[in-house]
Amino acid sequence: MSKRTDSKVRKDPGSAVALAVALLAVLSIETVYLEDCWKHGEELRKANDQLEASNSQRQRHIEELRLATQKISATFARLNDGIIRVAATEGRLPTPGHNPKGNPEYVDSKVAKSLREYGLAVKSIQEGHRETSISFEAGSNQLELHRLAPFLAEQENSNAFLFVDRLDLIRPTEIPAFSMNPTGLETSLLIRVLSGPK
Amino acid sequence: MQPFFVSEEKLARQAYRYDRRYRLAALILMIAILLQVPFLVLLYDQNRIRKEEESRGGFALQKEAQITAQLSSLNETEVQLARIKSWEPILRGRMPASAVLGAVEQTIPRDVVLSRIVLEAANYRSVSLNPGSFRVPATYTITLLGEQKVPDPGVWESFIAKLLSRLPPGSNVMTSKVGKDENPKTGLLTCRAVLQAQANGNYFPLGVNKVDAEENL
Repeated sequence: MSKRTDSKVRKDPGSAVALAVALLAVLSIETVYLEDCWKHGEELRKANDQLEASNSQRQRHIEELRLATQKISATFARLNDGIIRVAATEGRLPTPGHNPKGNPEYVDSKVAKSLREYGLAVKSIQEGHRETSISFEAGSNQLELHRLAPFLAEQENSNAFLFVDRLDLIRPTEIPAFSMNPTGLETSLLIRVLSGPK
Repeated sequence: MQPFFVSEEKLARQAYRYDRRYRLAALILMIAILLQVPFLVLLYDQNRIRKEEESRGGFALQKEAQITAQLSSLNETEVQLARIKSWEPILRGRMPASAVLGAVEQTIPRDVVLSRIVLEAANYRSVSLNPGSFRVPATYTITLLGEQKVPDPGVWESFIAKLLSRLPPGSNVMTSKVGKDENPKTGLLTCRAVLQAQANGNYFPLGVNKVDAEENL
């Protein structure tokens, strides 16, 4: 009877297998849980790193803006002053190709005025290009180079959007080369200035 | 009476002690118990890290809100800066004609005189603005016609080389020639040169300052 019982006990290892399986399952669950925790922590860390990097970048940007506020305002005012302001017609900018001759903004523009005041004949030209600009043709046959150069420099310094698209200076044929007399040059200028809405 | 009676309980104990499967189960149990220590330590550590990161994240979000508030007070400056940046390609493409005339005046030798100077913008590209657009030249063609009163053609060449050195980097001489004496009475040689200047924004050799230089503001 004892032999029978012995073999019966030995042949019933189900509880051992079940225990082993249960333990392995617990260990696996613990490992997965730990890995999840670690991944979550890593994600949080990365998100925080990014946020902090973005914050410090924006903070630097703010510092730079604060330091440069005056300079930016002054530069903006200086550049913005150069743009010829034109009234929008029917809610639109002046139509490219539109002849600005009858346009009061053209007549009153600082650039045209100063060119005229300096003795240059100024004429508006019709621009065929679709762009927001106003073009002038200016000419004179009395300006000497030593007067023209500083005048142009003054105009270009006061308006950063003044483009001299073409400049043609010709010594009159009747003036001989190496003449020591003051020589008025045949001057022709094609000037284009950026325009914008009022 | 059975002298060698072994109870079932004892047999079972023996089975637990000597059967391989029970031994394996016991080993796994012991390992599992031992692994609980690092598991608990790691769990505690991960929990601590999570709390730290959460508090760090909260602080960073607060900071972000503060920065956003600070930025809104600088909104006007930002708008102005954006406008200046949008004008940058236009400013870069403008080679001041007065500076070119100044460079010609400063580099021309005594023995040379010019009869014609032509400066012409070329190779336009359109720069988009809000609203509209503006054409900006990529190059400028400078044509010089003149006379020189010495027979040495090197005088004209040296003048053109000096002028080229004052033009923006990348500029080049397209043609330069000293012609024959057209008028034997005057003894003058006719000269002609065509230069192509790059409108690349580097006008420092021409003596032009930056737009935001203190003296310009």
